[in-house]
Amino acid sequence: MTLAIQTENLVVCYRGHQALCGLNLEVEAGEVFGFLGPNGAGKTTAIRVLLDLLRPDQGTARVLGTTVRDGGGELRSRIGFLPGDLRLFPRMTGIRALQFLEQLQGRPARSRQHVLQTLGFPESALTRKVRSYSTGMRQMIGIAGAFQHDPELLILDEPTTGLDPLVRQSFLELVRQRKESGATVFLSSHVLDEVERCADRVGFLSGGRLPLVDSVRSIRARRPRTVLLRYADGTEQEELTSVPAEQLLADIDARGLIDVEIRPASLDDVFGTIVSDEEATR
Amino acid sequence: MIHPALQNHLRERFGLVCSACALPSLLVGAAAGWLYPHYREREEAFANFLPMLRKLFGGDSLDLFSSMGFLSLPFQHPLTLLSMGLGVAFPGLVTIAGDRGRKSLDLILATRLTRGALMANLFLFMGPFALLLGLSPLLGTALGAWISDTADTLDFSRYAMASGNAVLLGVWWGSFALLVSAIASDGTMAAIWYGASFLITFVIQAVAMVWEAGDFLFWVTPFGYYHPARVIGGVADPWRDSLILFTTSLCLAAAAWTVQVRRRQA
Repeated sequence: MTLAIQTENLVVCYRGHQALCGLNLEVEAGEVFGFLGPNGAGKTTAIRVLLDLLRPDQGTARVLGTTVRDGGGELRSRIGFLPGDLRLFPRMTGIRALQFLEQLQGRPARSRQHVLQTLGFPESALTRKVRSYSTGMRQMIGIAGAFQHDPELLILDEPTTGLDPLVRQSFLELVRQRKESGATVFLSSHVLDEVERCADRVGFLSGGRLPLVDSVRSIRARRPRTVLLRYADGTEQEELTSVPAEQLLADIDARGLIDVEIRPASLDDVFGTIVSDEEATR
Repeated sequence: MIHPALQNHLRERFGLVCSACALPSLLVGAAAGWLYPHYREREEAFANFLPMLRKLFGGDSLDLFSSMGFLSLPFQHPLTLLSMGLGVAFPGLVTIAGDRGRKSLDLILATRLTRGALMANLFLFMGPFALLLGLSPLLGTALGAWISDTADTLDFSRYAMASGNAVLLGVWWGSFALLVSAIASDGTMAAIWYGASFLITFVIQAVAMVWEAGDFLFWVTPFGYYHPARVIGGVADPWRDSLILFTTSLCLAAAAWTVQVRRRQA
């Protein structure tokens, strides 16, 4: 198993508060890894450590087989990064911003056109200044900047912020394409349904710790599916486990069952459970 | 070490503002050239005018009633010194501390560009502007001489020496701005620290010039190594002061580089 990202016992403290408390994380090469957690869980802090934008108080981080400190600029040129709080240069045009990023990345932007087309970014808007863009358009430029040089690893912090549902679909399609071409995608988000749709594995970060890392399928399996019964009188019944079987059959018979809906457990459910468990143990 | 794309970006972002900081010297020079004939006519009135102010403008080393003395105003006027201090410091303060505060520094440093390379490129970018701003008083004086038709009475080699000294003063403040920027958490803090340092040293220098017992204060600020009146008056050569400014500038730039490279947060 080749690891694209590996952290060992990462500890980061800010003014006495521990943002990361011994984070151990392993992301396999070629997978899409969903990095989930509530606001303030330490997701952005961990990402900044992976890019050597922040140095940890303890522990080590290895990215694409090299320690982050030793890899330097050469390592970062193999990574595509989209920050959570994207601040482009407002006086630059969109195309100039992308060209500037390309020059800093030091690799040709072979995929720029494809990414912009897939996202549906209007070509005529590329020559407009970034300050005239909507939030969604800026985010699309940020995504194009991260994807354009075909990096081996994509680190995306809240990538769908400000995007409309159609562009979100296009973005997920881009992630799938990158995965098919062998790249690793590290996707930080608190929008669980997106991660659920594209990630192979997810890790839940809570309070600077990673209490759970598993495949989406296994995590879903940890929670039982729920069954919803709809009756002819317009009522619904979801809590079935506490009802005796005879009474349930009698209800169905008396009220007239018209529909049965079986709902799979969502990551939301698991996430909620983990966060509340974590808070209870503190 | 020179990163063409970054240099181009810095030029696009700061070129106009930094160049505009040369304007006050030209305006002061033009005003001095326009005023000089009138000033000559009222020499007696000005002779009794505030001896302390005359001392502040180097009246003890330079005849302020001569064209050589009066047209040295672009080298000494607080406005030109202020614009020089602003022009050379602006890119360093905005690109490091300012972008750190706005979080756009993350986007730049998440690429092949290293922290050290960013610092080195900023230092190199500052050079041409320090040159331009250091030469701007010379251009201002030349403009004043043309307006007042006194060019043949001036020794431009003395002005050129003072200009060279001004270039190095600019490099000093630019390097100091890089250090402040490397230390500060954001642009506002950097601007406050830099602005306060500039103003305090300027006031200390002014006090040292007018207060005889305060001579020792001369040597504790960078302005103490910039004496245009003495250089233009032929009383002193600027080489020693220039060497000190150059050496300390390199030390400040090296310190700024080290702080930025070793910083916990980029």
